Amino acid sequence: MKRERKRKGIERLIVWIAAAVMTAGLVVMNFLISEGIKNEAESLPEGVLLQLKEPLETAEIEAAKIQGYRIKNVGAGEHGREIYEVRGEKERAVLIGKVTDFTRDLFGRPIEGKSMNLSAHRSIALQMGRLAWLAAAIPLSMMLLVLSIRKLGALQEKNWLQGLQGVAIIAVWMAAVYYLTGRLNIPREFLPREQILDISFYIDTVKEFFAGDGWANQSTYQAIRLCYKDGALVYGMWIICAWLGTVLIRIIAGIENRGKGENISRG
Amino acid sequence: MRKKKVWIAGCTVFLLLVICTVLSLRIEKMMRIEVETVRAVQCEEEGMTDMVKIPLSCYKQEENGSFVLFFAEEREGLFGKEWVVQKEESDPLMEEGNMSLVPKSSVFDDQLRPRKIVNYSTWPLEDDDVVVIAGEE
Repeated sequence: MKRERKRKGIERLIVWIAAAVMTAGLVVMNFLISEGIKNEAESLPEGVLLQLKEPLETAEIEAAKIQGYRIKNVGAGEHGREIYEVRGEKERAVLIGKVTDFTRDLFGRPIEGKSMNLSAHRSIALQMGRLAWLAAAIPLSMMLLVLSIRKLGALQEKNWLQGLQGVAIIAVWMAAVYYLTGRLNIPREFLPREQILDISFYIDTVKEFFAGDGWANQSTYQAIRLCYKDGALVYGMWIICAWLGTVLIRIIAGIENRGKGENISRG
Repeated sequence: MRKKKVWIAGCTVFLLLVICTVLSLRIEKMMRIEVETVRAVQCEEEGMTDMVKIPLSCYKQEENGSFVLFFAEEREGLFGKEWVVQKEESDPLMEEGNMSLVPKSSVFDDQLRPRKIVNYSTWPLEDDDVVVIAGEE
């Protein structure tokens, strides 16, 4: 009996050590990945890209400088349009509503066109690591919630210690999720107008961006696209490793618990 | 056994409600629309001291064709001060380049302070939307 208990203790220790090693490995992997992606994201420019139906006059560009905006012609877009990069003097994000309103305010005449908020894309690219952590924690979160509900179920049998453990797990999990979500700063244009769970909006936004209608040959757009692709590939693989590791640890722990249960029933 | 299952089901429902409540605090903050505001500028022409200028881009056209202005007002919310937009119907009366001349009384408050007028927003606004003023987060 004593030997059996010792064996169980060692097995439990092995599971904990395996979990700790896996977590440490994932943290180190994430750190190494993040450095590369962060450098790529930090090289992306701030400001706004404007694709206008009519080209700007030199005098208009100079007048915009006086208002605190730096404008640079970054090449021709599709259908004979010119593309300009607009940056605010104080390097904060340039907020743009309708292109006609913006051009009327800045250049004194409404010009039809399209815009792309570079600062918003840069902000999202820099936060891919945090989003990856949230995604990686999904299977662990589900397991912890199931475990905590089972422990809360023990309260009904007046097993106060287990009940308290269940409450503690939920409290720690909630604090971790609140902290992680608090560190996110998703630009508002990448969230739906009304419902945050409007999945079709996210799918359409991604499809539209990668279709690159009108921006395809533009180097800044290509740089952003490459950054997203690299991030998705690298963080995607990291998330899969995290999920597989979590499931593996759970299986090992499950086998160990089943063995314990069989011994108890035999005993 | 049945009693335990009912208890667990109840705990699950309660837990989901608590999670949704906690997350909704974060979501509410994330869903605030970012806006840029301007204040009216005094007219410098003689005999127009009662008039001020605001950018034409502040006027938003509604579905029925009328024009509105959105004013950002600070109010006390559940978790401290927050900015809320108030919609007021207003047509651009006199245009001067990319500016509109309006009576001072329409864009100043009771204490004769210029009100914040929404110039740009990341999404079309509606009356009483809670917003975040760009640069003031």
